[in-house]
Amino acid sequence: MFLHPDTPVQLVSNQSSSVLGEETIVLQYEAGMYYELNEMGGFIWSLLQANKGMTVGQIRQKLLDEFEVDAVVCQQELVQFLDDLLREKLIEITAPVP
Amino acid sequence: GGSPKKAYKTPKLKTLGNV
Repeated sequence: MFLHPDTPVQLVSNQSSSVLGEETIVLQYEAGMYYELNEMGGFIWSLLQANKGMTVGQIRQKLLDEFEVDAVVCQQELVQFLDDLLREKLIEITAPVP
Repeated sequence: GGSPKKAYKTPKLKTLGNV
């Protein structure tokens, strides 16, 4: 899609989630779909819960700070994951925080 | 001066079904 490092994203309002062991279960009300995020997906989800309008670059930096991962791999896999969340209408691109 | 970094895994979204 069109996710750049300075693209701010946020969780949509019509969803709820719950941590179940190492996974996070998410229910999207509008479509009635429910999903499972693995441990790393749940970590990113928790960042978005705590920080409305966090940019892709900020999420990437947080991952690089906390996990042993190559920067290029991190960027590619993060954008792919966020693309998936966007496609399923679990997150949305928001206006930049002033 | 820092704590060890955790092991990284590819973040994944899996569709479970439709309520």
